[in-house]
Amino acid sequence: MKRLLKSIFSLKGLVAVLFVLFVVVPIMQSWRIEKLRDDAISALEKKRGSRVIVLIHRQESVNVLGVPLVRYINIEDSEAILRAIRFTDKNTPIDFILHTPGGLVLAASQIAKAIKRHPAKTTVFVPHYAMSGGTLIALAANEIVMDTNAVLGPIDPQLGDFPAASVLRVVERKPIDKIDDMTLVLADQSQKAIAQVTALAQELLSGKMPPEKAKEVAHRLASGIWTHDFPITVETAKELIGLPISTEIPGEVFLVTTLYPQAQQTQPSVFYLPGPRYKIGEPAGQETAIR
Amino acid sequence: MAIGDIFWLFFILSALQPMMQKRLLDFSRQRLISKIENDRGSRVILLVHRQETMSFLGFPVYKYISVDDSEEVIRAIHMTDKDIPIDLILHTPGGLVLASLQIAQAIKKHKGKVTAFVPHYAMSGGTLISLAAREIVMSDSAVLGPVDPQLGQYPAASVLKVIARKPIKDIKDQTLIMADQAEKAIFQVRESVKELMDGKPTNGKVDELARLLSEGTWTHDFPITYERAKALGLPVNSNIPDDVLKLMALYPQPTRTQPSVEYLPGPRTRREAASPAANG
Repeated sequence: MKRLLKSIFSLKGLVAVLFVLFVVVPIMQSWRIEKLRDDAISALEKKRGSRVIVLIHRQESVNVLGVPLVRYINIEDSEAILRAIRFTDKNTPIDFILHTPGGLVLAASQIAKAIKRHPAKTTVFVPHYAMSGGTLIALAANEIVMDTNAVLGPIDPQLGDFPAASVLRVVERKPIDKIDDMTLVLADQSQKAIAQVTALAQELLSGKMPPEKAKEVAHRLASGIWTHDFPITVETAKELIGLPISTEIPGEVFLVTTLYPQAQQTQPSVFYLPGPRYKIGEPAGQETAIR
Repeated sequence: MAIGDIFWLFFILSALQPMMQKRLLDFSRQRLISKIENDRGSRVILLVHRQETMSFLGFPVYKYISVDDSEEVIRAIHMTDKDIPIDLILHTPGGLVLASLQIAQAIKKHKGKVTAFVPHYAMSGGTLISLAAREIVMSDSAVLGPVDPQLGQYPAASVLKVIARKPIKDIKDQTLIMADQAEKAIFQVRESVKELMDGKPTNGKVDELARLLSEGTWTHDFPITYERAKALGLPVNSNIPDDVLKLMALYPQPTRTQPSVEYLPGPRTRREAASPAANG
């Protein structure tokens, strides 16, 4: 004992103690945060009797070279989410927590369609923002619940750096013999992209409003009447777009988002507690039999 | 004491020193913030962007109003009772329109009095946020800036000038694409400014003010001084408390990344009123 104390209080011992503090403590901390996240998600799941899926894209500040890393909805995300939906009993409601600047139309539309197909009630919580692809996903849900200050965004497609709608404006305004070939190529894609996204939005909205209304809303969101970063607030969404939106967001949702702080390192952006979700006392759905 | 021991001692001290310094700095910030909060009976939120130099390779890291900032600020607003005044201290070159507008609209919705303090500068997005406040308190030499939108490195207003001056068949396609966005962006920002200024005593100058600020009357880095802001009809005054300036001194140019929004945790509610369930 005495020897141990002596060795701790020797200078080299102190170095060892410091090493433990600097290396072991951060690891323990990250475990603790993970535990807290799991607890928060399972508290929300218990309260609402649902499966909770979290899709959070935080802009990782900088990587080694000082280049900001932009995160968005990609195929990995849609794959993980589709798997989560598949492992959810078809009578169990699904709650999504979305915090994203958007992403690939393909990935977002896959997620949106899977949500639309889910027979039980689906709810999308937007605690802060869900732009572009995030908004597309939100349109698919039975209910959108936004914080009073949260925003959605237009879903008009972007071709690389250019908004499809703006490319089409060029073709409208300029005589065709003066337009660059590449612009015409882009214009063709733009036309198709806008038509596709509009049709998709309309399909996602069908059953929630009369068809003519769904068509109009889809057109407003997808045809680029705003810039792509235009914040659609709760009021704008309710008035202009006529989406069914509530602002009764449970405190647990905020707790979950706070537990995903700006990360220092890359981390997966889809989170949910593993394992299937059943309603108690009901036989497992056929999806789960696949496992 | 052996020479090796001295080496280790030195090593340990130099490893601990930055940590202790940071703790001390944190502590004095917290003390000053809570002093201001007590004096003014308000919630204090800071939005400070200092340009950082990465110590590693020497690349400068430009900090601006990002979505993470708007999220933090709105979280702080949520944790503030709706009647409690908010004091927002801004020191920023601006940033994303989306994030700035979100903060501005949240401030506009807040029932209690919101005061924007500009000890040094709040350009672009920072100005947009200030416009939403009931009152803007600037130091004598502090500046605001125009809020005209920027597309990448080009000011939207200048892109539109090209369209106005050159025959359309000779304009490059890419410029036309940008022009379309520029048009929408300027319109949106102008309408937002009008909305934010709505209900404020501006002597019917709202339309003119929104136009001046958002349509590229000046270059984007044009300093709008206290006198000019007053002449424009903005609700400014120059009685900035010394404590706010002292507080800024506690946010020195950092050598490492650090969170850009800071406030004391915990909700602010009036003592006599029972606190309603806070989000958080």
